Amino acid sequence: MELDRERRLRERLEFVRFYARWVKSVPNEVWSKQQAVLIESFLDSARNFALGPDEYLRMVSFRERRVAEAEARLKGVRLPEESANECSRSSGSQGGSCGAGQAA
Amino acid sequence: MEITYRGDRLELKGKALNHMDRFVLSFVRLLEGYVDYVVVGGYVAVLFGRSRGTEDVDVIIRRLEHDEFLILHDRLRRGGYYFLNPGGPDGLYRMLAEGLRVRVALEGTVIPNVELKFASSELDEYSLRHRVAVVLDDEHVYVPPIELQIAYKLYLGGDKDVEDAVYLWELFKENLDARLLRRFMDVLGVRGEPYGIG
Repeated sequence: MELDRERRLRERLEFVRFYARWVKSVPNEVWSKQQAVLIESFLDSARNFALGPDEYLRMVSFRERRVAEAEARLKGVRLPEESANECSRSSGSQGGSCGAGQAA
Repeated sequence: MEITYRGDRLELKGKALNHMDRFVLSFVRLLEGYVDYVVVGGYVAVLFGRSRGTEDVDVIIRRLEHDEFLILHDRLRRGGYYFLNPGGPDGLYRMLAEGLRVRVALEGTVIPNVELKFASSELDEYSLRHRVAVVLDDEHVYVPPIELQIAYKLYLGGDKDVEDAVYLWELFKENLDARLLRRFMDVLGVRGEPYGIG
């Protein structure tokens, strides 16, 4: 069972990498138009469930609990001090390992 | 994909906005100018083209005082939104103050919706402090540093989360700060190597 799940995940990840490479290779207009079709169709079918707020909240409660537990564990996590020369996005640094450039 | 990623600004021009994008942009417009926010979770991968459905959007705001929240509540209600969770504004504030999330949707709908929470950890605070503006032509939305988003997705560990992490890595690997990504993965106790990350 676990091996099946791992195999399926490996296959999915291969597809995700393949898809990401395709997205990087085409203009934004191209991938985003295709994505819009998929998102609209997903939202249309989700809306067909016609759940009320209470039923919906019951339906997502399991997922919410899982995330809440993961987040509760994060409350104890301390970030190391940010050193003065650390590459920080908000510093507006460009180049080097901070990365400024084009993904195309 | 044409992306320009400089410091705390990421330009993604020419994206054909989908319904989810428009929903998110309308919502965050109501937060703008009132409270700093950051959009996290699965929508970040979707924003950058991941081909998967998502029905909710996670949004973190700084912890508000009770009276500040009442103003935000009023602002959202006037903007055409309602809270899916039962209880009035006082009850909703108590939930948020206890570290719970509340869901917000457009009147008359349930999906899509926003899961709103107060910043409750150092990582949440970091996301707000170091947020990145994703500029979509004449609109923008704030997300956490991509490095943190990847590490956090690995930390959550569900199949969809790992797929999101791999997708973001593949898309941005040439632009990321490898030390920052390593630091977040260390702090969260996760490893990227099994998935080719890092």
